[in-house]
Amino acid sequence: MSSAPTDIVEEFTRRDWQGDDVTGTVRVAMIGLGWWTRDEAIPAVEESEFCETTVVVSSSKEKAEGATALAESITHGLTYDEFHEGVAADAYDAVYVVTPNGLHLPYVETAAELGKAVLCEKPLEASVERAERLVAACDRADVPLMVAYRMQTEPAVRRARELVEAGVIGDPVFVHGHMSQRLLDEVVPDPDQWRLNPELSGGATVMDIGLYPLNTARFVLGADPVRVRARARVDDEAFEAVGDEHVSFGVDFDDGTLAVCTASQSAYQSSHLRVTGTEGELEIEPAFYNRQRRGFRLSWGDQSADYDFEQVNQMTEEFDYFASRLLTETDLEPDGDHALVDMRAMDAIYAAAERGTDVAVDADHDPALDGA
Amino acid sequence: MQFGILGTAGIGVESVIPAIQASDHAAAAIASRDEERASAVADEVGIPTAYGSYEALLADDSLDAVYIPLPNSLHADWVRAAADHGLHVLCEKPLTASADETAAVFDYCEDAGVTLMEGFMYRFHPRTERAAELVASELGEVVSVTSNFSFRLPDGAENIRIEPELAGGSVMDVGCYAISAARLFLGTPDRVYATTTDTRDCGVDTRMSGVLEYDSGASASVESSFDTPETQYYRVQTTDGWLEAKTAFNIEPTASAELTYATDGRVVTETFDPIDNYRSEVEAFARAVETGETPRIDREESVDLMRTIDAIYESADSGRTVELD
Repeated sequence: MSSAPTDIVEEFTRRDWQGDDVTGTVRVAMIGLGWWTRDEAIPAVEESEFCETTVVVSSSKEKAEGATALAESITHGLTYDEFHEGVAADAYDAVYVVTPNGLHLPYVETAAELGKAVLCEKPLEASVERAERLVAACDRADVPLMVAYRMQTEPAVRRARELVEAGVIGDPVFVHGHMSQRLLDEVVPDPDQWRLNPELSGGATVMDIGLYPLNTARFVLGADPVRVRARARVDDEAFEAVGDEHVSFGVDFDDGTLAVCTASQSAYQSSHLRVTGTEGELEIEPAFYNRQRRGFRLSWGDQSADYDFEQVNQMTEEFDYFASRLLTETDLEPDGDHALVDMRAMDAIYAAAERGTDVAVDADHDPALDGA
Repeated sequence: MQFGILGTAGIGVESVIPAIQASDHAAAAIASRDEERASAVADEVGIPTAYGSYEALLADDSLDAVYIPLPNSLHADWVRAAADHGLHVLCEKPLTASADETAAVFDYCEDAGVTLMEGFMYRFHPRTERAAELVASELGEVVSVTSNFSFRLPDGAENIRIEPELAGGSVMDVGCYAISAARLFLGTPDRVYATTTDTRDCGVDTRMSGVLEYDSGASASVESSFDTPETQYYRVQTTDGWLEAKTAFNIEPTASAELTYATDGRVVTETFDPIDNYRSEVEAFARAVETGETPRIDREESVDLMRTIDAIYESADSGRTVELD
């Protein structure tokens, strides 16, 4: 009988990334005041050890000043113009950019010019080209950039990565990943929302939620995508402009692992990631929603183990990770270069869905040639 | 190894003979005091040779070992008789009816140069192995154990389980599992207090409730009965968490086994694929015979278990706490 690898799952929710020497507080300006910022980010920062929200930035002065009541620590409510002008720049150390995807670039550029560290929501931008400019702006100004994938500081995902690294499931062979929700019925009931505008989002399903199984698989495997194939279907006319409501895509990773992922913005809320290796299997289900308890199952030999662990607020973990790295001046992950790989992979997925053929994930892939 | 089977008891026919047959060993002969019954069972389960007496089977030179599923009070005599013929012995639990007798049969087998093992099949289930490993290494110090094996024995049935002269009773039949589990996690107790009840006026206990105390401050609560729906579990409370198994002792070979434990902010349910733990028991016994190594259930375990059972009966009779030496 083989024993469970208990040394790895010991203290399941431990912050393996946090050193003992972290002191101080990172003051954060929240750029964009949608439901995610109000209901998730600001409360999560209030729970955090190393962050506080001091500034909120929105389209109107009224909206921004009204939002200063969301946390006691908030001292300034700014308009986007005031932010670009550098108003109250000494009141925050870092920005969290939560605008529509296609508007990340100008705020990150301003933050970089102001010398502020950047935590940018995923996906990095609405296109590969704009994402590259975003990363370049941070590189030029030498400011830290982290992309808010949320799952890379989720304990279930970190434990999965450690178990895979330790060889507990043998060599990874397959990944099955899935994420779905009912965007219009349950999340944001507005057919005119930015996620359905291709200019602002770059895509509705792959970019918003298909990214979770893609990026989490990359993190757990420690591998990058090299080739993809995909199908996309639209049932609801609200998704016609973006073209992706229900999506399936296959990804070949550079370590030989084959992944099949599915995502939908109009299907029952569900999420999982399963990694099947030569000797065992890991399943995280539910996996990707902060609002659902994450489940974790390891199967090996003649047995399986289901872990019911203390759940963390994924946003609090993410903010504390971001802040603790800034406070100790340590490199941040996932960084801009890591996120550009996803942008290129998603670009290839959209191209593959349109062409009906395999598409290589190439750093030099030119979207202008997609129709060729 | 060639096994001879002493008697046509249900546990042999239904569980252990198929387990021997599924292993690399053989059930070569079976004996009953009734030759026709021996032949009928031999035909039914596919055993080549049937004997009309236990002595005749023991005299069969082709055998290497015997499996004894006879009534408890008959175990000791037939263990000795088998040892006289140089046969290794796998004997159903409880090995004898007292600690002194258990020690005596081990002495006898050691002198005869044969291996003797008491048959507690649950000790060979991977779930039990894992539970012992977790309690020993992961969960801190054991504070208490509760264990129970009970089932409803149909009323009015003539049954060796309630015959005083056959060493029946709920403790001897199923309580020994609960006590064995307490020993597995805590060792042999220092003091025992127990009550027993004979609800059927049959001369043996049909219910037992006992407390095993340890000088460390730990305790175990053990129970058995013939008067309740089937219940079989152990639960271990530790300084860092807990561990629990249901259907803990007698689990179908086709059923998955679950073990749940909590520690370090996580509750883990491990699921084990179905396994025939009688076959694991037979194979472990045969391996001990072949290698000359001490079997997993050794003399110390069998004698200490019986000392605890003796103390439970003594306490139940006297109404006092009994110290174990």
